[in-house]
Amino acid sequence: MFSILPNRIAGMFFFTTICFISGPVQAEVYAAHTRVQLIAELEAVPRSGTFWVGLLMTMDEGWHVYWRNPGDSGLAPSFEWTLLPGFSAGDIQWPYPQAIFAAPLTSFGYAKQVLLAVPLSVPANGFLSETVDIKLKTSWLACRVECVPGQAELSLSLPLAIRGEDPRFSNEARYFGEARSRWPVEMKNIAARSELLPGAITLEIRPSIIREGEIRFFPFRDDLIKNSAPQVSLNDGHYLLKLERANFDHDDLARLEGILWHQGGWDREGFIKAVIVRSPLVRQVPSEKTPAPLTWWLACFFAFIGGMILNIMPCVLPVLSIKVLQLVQRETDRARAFAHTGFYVLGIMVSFWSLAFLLVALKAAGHAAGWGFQFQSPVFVAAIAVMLFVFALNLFGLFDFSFNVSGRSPGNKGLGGAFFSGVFMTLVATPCTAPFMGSALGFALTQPWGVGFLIFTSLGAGLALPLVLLMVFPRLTRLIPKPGPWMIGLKHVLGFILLGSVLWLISVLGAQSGLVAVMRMLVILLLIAVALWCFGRGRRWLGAAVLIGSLVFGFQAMVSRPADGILWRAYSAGDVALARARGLPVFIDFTAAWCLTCKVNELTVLRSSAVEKLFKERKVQAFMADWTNQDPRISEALAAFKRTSVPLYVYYAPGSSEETLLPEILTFAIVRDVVGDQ
Amino acid sequence: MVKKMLVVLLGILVLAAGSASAQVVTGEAAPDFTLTDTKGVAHRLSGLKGRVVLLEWSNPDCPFVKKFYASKSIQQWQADYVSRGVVWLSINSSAAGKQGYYSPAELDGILVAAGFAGTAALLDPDGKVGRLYGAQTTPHIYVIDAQQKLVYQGAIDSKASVDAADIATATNYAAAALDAVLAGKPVTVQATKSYGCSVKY
Repeated sequence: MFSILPNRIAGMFFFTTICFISGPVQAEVYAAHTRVQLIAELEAVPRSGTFWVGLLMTMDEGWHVYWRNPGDSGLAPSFEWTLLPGFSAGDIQWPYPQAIFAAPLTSFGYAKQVLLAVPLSVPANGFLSETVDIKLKTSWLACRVECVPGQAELSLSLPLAIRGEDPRFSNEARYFGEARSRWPVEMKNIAARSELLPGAITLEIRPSIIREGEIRFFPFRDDLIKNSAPQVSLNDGHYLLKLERANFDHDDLARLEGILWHQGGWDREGFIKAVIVRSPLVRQVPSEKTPAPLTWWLACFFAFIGGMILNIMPCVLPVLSIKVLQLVQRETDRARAFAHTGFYVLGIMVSFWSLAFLLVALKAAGHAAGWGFQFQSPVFVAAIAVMLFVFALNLFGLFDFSFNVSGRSPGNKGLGGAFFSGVFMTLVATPCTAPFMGSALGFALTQPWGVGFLIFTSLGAGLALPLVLLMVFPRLTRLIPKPGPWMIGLKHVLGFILLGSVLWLISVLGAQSGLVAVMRMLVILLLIAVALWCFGRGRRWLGAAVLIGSLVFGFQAMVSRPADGILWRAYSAGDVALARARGLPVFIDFTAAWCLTCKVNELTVLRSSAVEKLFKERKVQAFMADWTNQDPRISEALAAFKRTSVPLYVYYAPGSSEETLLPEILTFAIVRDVVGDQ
Repeated sequence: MVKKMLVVLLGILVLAAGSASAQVVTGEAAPDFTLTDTKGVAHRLSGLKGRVVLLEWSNPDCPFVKKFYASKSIQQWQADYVSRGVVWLSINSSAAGKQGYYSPAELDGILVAAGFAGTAALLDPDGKVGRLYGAQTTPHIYVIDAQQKLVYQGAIDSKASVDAADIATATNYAAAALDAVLAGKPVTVQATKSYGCSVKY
């Protein structure tokens, strides 16, 4: 026992000594399933300016803490600093959060680990102490499913930097670097516009680079939007987010403030994932045309008028004109024409009801399906363009087809055709919304579904009316001139109108999917024209073959997505050198618009999803050197590779000084072999 | 083709049903509901017409709720307003197996021990009424006037914290709404963002 005692005493002496030495410095605490540490970026406090400290929070598996706006539930961490006189603490720099879903609630916070950094500023006139004590009292809420509040008092003592020397980075500096990469940045080169509507706030963003990926707006205020409502975003040249407003009064709100997070990133390299939005809110000025609120019968009336006006809109008129022609031809057989028209009206009504039903269901599911939404799908646009083109060719007399008019087979085929032409009429009418329609339809979507259906029915009735009138008052058909040679002229004129519509649709397609899609479309139309000419001449098999060929081409075009995956940057020697210096693989495509081989290679290989995927995986920096106008810089670059013509494909493997030249005719296998093995 | 479309439509409708979120607007009629309390008695909101009603979404295990109950502040308010004729209903919307879920007898025991002085404690384990009202947190308060109109929804008070010391210095929105309604005056603060733990649906 005597021998143990001295050891014990020694141990206790040691222990207390250590306690004294460590003193009240407690830089780390574990509470509420979170390990919190007060850390500094530098080893010493600089003698002037600011330096960064922060609370490093490391959560247990499954636990999370909250962002400055916790969302539907939770509590953001709070800081209380005790500093030496003259020192002041700035605001917490919050990295962008993630959305935490616990249906039906959505919160915003951080899982695993987060550093909440704060800048401390050193007093200007200097101070006496050689060590700087920093104390932080913090409280936070950590939740997994259940929530636990946490509290800690942390302190940190740093020496003052030696005069004349810059303090070095501490061991924890890397956390600050990582946190900085997740701080939202001010928007540059991005135009933003936000509008305050009765039930929602819209945010329109026009960045210089469009990327694929999820987008989410995190507001700074916790009472602004319904956090669980989907933030519908459309993407065709710009992003439009529609944020459902929470049930609070914000009509005096001046600005929309928050961060906009993009999974794919906002900058060229995709590193910057969040930007700060501070957009002044434009209030929607109520239009003079629609008195608010719009009563339902007034809306129905407007819808009816709007439907009638649709008949003369460029989308519909050519198709209507086909119906008129049909009617003129059928004038003799009244009973059948009557049934025909009846089914045509039925076709219109059924399609309007289906559209109304679909819109209501989609709206309930939370998508902002505004009227005309079908035209947002490039495939739909292409399909309609093909259909109208076929009609135009028919009108020009390139071929005949018994789609509508069938003298031989009575009843069913004709009636079915009438029904479907009614359906087609509705589809085509959708984007041409006449002035009345916007408010009536917007109103319809906000009303209980019964009223909405009534409004859609009025719309359909208005659209169908002219033809029905012609039917009910046969005298009016007598107003229509008798068949004669003038019909051929009329047919041709209508054909030109249809071609105009096709032109417009192709321009829409171009805006949606780019030049490549337009080229593909034109090829398909050409092939179809040839096929129909064959049919018209009685050469069924040849026609069918060409038609199948065009369908295959069209299908393949549909399946391979447009190249918004690889970012092809304009060639510049400096950018290439920079990319190589960063150790990234580089691929250069020397091409020209007049070079057929180049275009074929691009269409079939370089823009294919397989190559896209490969480039993305390997982080290949893709450059396009466009020699269409014989740019001398590019001629020089070509000469450097001992070439004087295009195409030329150059690949630099990461970290290598030698280039690999690919052959003039590319296949995916070639690209894969060269890019694949590094 | 038609079959495919029907399936898609059906899917959309199912989605719609699932994501339906409540739209209780202050100033409009409070949605009716019937729930059973911890003693087995059923309570129907429409049967309380003529009385001022306060709904308090609660979860005995949530630190924010504990702040009010441990400091005995909320029990005082309950006793005070119940004596003035208010029907104070606490509602527990925790789903089975989630935090805060208790059987009626268990919850009754907990509340008696805590000194609950409200009119009754209702159980909503399938979360129907919670979703109907859009209750997001515990606590979340709804004040309904004698004509069954919703006059206030949101937080109990203005300081979102778990620290009981903040109760004394915070503005009590629930009490202000009750006072206004009982005096026949309009409620000034009609809606605030509630704070607390999430309701464990």
